[in-house]
Amino acid sequence: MKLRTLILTAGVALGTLSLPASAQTIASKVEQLGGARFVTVSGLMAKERNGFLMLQIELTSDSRKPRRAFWRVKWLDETGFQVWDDEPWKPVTVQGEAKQNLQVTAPTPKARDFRIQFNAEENWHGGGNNNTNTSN
Amino acid sequence: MNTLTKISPLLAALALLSGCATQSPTLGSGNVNYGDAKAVEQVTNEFGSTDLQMIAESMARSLAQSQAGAKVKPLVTIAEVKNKTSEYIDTRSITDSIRVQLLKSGTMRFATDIAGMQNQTDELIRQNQSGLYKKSTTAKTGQMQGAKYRIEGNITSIVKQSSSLKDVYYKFSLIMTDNESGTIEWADEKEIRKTSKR
Amino acid sequence: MNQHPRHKPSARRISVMMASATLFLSGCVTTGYHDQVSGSLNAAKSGAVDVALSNLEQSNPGKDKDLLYFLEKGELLRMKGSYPESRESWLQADGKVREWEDAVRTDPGKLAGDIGSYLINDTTRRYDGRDYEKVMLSVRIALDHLALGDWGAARTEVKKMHEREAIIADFRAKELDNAKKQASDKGLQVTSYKDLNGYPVETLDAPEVRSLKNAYESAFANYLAGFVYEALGEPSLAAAGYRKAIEMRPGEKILEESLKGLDQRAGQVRGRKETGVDTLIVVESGNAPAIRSRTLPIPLPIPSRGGLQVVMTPLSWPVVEPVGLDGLINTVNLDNKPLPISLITNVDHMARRAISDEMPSIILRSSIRAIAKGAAQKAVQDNASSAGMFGAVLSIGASVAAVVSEKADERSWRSLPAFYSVGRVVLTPGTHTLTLNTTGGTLTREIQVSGKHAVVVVRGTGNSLYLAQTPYTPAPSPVVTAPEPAIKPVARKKPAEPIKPLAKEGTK
Repeated sequence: MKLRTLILTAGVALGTLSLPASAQTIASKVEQLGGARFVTVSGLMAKERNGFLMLQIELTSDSRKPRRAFWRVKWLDETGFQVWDDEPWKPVTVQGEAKQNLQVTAPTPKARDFRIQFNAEENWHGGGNNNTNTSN
Repeated sequence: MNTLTKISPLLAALALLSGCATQSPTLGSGNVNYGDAKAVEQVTNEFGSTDLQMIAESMARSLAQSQAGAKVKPLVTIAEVKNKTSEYIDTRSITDSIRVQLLKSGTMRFATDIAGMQNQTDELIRQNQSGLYKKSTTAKTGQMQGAKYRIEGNITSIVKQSSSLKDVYYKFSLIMTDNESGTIEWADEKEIRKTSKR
Repeated sequence: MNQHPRHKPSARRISVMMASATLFLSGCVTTGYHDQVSGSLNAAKSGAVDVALSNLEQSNPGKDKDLLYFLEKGELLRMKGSYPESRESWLQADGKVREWEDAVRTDPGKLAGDIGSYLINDTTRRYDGRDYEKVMLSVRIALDHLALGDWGAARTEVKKMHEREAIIADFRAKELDNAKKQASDKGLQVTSYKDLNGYPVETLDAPEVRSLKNAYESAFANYLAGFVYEALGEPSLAAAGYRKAIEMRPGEKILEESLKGLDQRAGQVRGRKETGVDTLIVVESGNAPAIRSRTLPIPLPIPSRGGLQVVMTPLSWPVVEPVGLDGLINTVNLDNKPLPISLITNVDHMARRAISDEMPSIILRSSIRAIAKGAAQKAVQDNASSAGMFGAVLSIGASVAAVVSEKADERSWRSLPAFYSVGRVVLTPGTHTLTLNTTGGTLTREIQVSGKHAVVVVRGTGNSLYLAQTPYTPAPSPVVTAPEPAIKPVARKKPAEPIKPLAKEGTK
């Protein structure tokens, strides 16, 4: 079993996986929809298991209340082409001042890279636009 | 009133402008909207599209993972997912989604399931017994492949309701059994909790 | 003292005038819905469906037909056996219910809380159908589809029914919240029928009414849904239908056994060929109850010179006339053997529950309307006060007469069967006889079943019995005669080899 691990921490890239080497920071992997006030993506790990890319996403909430967020992953190949249909948005509740891990496996071995789309409710900076993709 | 008179020339100008603007390729009044099919549906807390998508996705991914190392793509059939809730949940729609995702990921092959068996046998009989088909092109009988595994499962729910709160918990569990040995080769479940206030 | 002595009529004359005005006004509106429809109903009871239909046309001469016309017409056409026409009429009715649904979906507050709509008398409001009628309409359209052999369309209708139930549930919850809020805002004392002195509370408070989950979901509708899903090979949905039916009607053996045997039957249908026809026998009888207007006084805070004044105001309220078990058919013989059937749905109870659920809003609407009219009279009253005592008497009299003359909404779908009993039996394909003990004596009908599933519906009303069943296709003869493409799985030679092992897999 192949097991290669890539750990991404804020601004620091440590990794050997055949991901495009350019700027492997969290920011480069996360498409934040709207500002981040309470819930943020604070950690990101990727590894390969049985040929499938596996991710662990850590969310941190600074709020005292449970906060809801929505996320999904765009699966890309080496060249940046999307290799899977848009995933459904997934709701997640992050408890007050907690860290929460989300795990997800790539749907196909073709996926070599990814982008995480992330949006949290009431997560704007001082009334900035809360670009929610969750309304119908 | 005052503001209205102020902005009405502006509105007129806007209307004029929009007249020149490129028309989007739509017909009709615009009261109808196409939404994001992947958006999180939270209209009511009954079983909904997001639940179906999340369940199908997590089950398909888990199954694909479990079989990824295999040298030969296993042949699988989907038996029934029993609905043990008192809600009308089309479990076949869930298993259809799971099958689509597994076929697309290329990790498994599927044999005709029970629901599709009638059409399959009808077609074989028609090709072979009607005497209307060219011998060399007819699908031979006796060549169908038996599935190595079958997937089956159930969905249950627990509903609690108070005057102001309704809490629904769904558990979808799926198992894959080796048809020959009868051993369960894979199992997984997905839980969903939905709470709504009145 | 009085400045216009010439215009002063005697007090006695006033009261006579008032009384006659009241009489006249109420005389205008007494041709209630029942008188309109009773001719039709009686004709149908005696078997003269064509007379019933022409009666219905006569009492609906206008160009714009309302929901009730299409509901009643669909039912009569179904009795007549004209299923496509019946379905057409009901689909028109369905279109009207869908208009209501759209209105509820886009703006539930408007329907529930529009004060403007309160000023209109209920009888002059557009009839949107009572909750159970909206759902029963879907059930009956599904039955028409089945009588035409279109199981797929029946499934669609059943699915639509679930969605409709969800909309109604949502709407009723909002309406009730709104009624509570408005009632406390307006300082109404009476918000429940229980506080209406003289109201036949027992009709709405009966345990069989209170034990219903709501006014629109029924065991029959869910059981039929389950059967349709099962026939289409969708046991997971069928299970939900049976389970819901059991929840609504616990302890009924037929319902419980349907759920228990579901998995086994699902295996059988897919596997072995000759298992007989799984037949659902539905016995419909009676007629949905009439709703009549009854006038009872209610204390209302009427704005007057001295501030709010509580005035006992006689207003009209809808009362369901319980049908008891009139016309219920509960003895059925199939091929001269007793067929166990269970009464699982009673529209009489559902109608009473519907009125009970609507009452808070009805009380609110009527009260607001009465108060508004009273308030409008206040100006007259104030002016009239300069005219002395007589003016005051006249104004109050006029306002009361105006409101009292109104009748409660008596409209309801009267040809809808009241009782739904079901029996379930596996029959050999072909002809069987069904014998029923009805109010018109013992009546016999021949039924014919084929295929894997069949639905046979008998509708008893008065002395008549109407039969509707899924189309019969005689079993294909074992020998292929014409060289037509043998799409039917007819064996010219021995069935090909693989079929047996396949069948085996199916039975699992």
